[in-house]
Amino acid sequence: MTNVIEVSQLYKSFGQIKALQGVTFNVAQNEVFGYLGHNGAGKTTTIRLLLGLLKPDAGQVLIFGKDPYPDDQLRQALRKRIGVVLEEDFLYPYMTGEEYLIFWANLYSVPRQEVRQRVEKALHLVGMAERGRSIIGTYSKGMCRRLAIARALLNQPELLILDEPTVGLDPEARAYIHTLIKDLVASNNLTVFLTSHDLEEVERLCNRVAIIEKGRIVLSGTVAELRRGVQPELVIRFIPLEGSLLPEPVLQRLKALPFVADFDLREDVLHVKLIDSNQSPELISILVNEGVRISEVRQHIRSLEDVYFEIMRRHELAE
Amino acid sequence: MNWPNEHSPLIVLICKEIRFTARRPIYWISSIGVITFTVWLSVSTGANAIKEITVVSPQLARYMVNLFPQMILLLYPFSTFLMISLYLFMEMFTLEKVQKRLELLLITPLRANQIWLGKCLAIFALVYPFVLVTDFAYVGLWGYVCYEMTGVLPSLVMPALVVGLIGGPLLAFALISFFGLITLLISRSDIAQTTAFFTSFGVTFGGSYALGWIGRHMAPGTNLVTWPTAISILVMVALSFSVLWILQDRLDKDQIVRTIG
Repeated sequence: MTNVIEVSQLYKSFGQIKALQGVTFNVAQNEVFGYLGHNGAGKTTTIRLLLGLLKPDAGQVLIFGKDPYPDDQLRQALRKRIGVVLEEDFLYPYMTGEEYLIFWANLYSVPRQEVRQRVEKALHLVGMAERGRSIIGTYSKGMCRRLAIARALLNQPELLILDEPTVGLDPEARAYIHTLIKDLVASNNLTVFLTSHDLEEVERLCNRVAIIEKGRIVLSGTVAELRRGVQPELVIRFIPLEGSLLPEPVLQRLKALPFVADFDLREDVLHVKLIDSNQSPELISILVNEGVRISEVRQHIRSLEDVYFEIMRRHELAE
Repeated sequence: MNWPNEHSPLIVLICKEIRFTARRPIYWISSIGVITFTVWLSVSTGANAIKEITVVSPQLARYMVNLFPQMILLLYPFSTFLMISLYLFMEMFTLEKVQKRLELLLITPLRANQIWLGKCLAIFALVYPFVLVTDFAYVGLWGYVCYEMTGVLPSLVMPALVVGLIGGPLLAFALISFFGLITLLISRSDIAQTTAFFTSFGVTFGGSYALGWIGRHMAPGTNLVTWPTAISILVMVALSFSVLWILQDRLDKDQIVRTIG
């Protein structure tokens, strides 16, 4: 499969601050790639490098096989293949939505006879057809975001770069934008690079995810692969014995088991993190032999959020 | 002639800046205010001086009738351009950078120097007509006032007209374009805005004072603005644009984006 984005061994510093330290990842055609990280982890710097706004100190960025940084005619043509929604909308509040989109379409050299049609289509697509002739200054935050998405679609991009597209929006507006992105990807053969704090959003939209922390990619893969990368957790509900929830010898036995990474006792529920999920039957059998009366056993399905926080915790511990 | 099927991004940017600035009342109010103030100040000051001098020496008064327009055309087109463009400079450069819209423009098919050039040309297109109106309004009103007071029409010298219509406004345009370039490259863009503000007022008041002093010390009968003066100013204009051309060619997106924050 062709890679739309290829990033290898990317370094970027701002004075003493090392924003990126050897970042490497690829985004394949038609893929929705999620890029996760805390504030200051290096997400915006990565986006600026992908857009050719910054020059790498070392390493390489290739978008459609070309370095996006030089400010020449070749790169001007490259930029016409990319649609961008940055973290803030940066709209002109004194224009109407329609005027703004016409300005943008012309800036991207959309053929004259198609401008009006594309603007109407983009407004319709983001559910703003009724408000196109209103002044942007009167729009809500959600409407501004939708207009920014409409702007990014005017040049019929092959690559869509979305920097926290739903930040600060109410749940209804977020759901609308999620559906919109899904529909766009399905119907337009788009490749999407998406950064977000919202793990649920990433889980819902992305095929693959990379987690960046302090300028380094700490983990990347599909959401399922990421889930597999963290220890499986078994949730065991039991009937408490008189006097104590679990006798001390049982707890000591659990601690001594080589395939148990960690466990946590919360009232009548035991959460056990296993090094290998294949050891679950053995664990159950040991507990039963110790006299624990088990009423329920289930494998905890780790959300991306659980995975993310565990990876961050491990990363902090390792440092 | 066949129009190209696509718009040039540079022309699109210029048209957008002109169209949307021209729609804003503040642009008209501030520009008309500067014109009115400039014309009123220059005509009324000159008329009062001529009235007093006529009593002492009618011959000197006739000389001053011709000298005053030279003084005004040497300074005021330059300072009028600067003062009108201050508001536009703030809108198109300072706020664009502070509100980070510049970052979005940098990812469009516009090159960094085209963004700078587009904004500068828009400022020129929005301000220069007002400078021409100021020049013609002043010359017309001054001629009327002088004829009423002395019965003589002032004679305008060609070098003064060249400076007033071309040299002065272009020199001011070069200065504003330079401030625009600086705004793109420094993180404290408010400093460039403040410097542009003080420069325009400093030039207006300092220049008025200097011209008054020169006028008092000139040998009667001589012209203030001669061809060597006009040519020197045009050479300064050419040099300023050459320097700007070299600097804009070195505009670097990395440098600009680093200063956006």
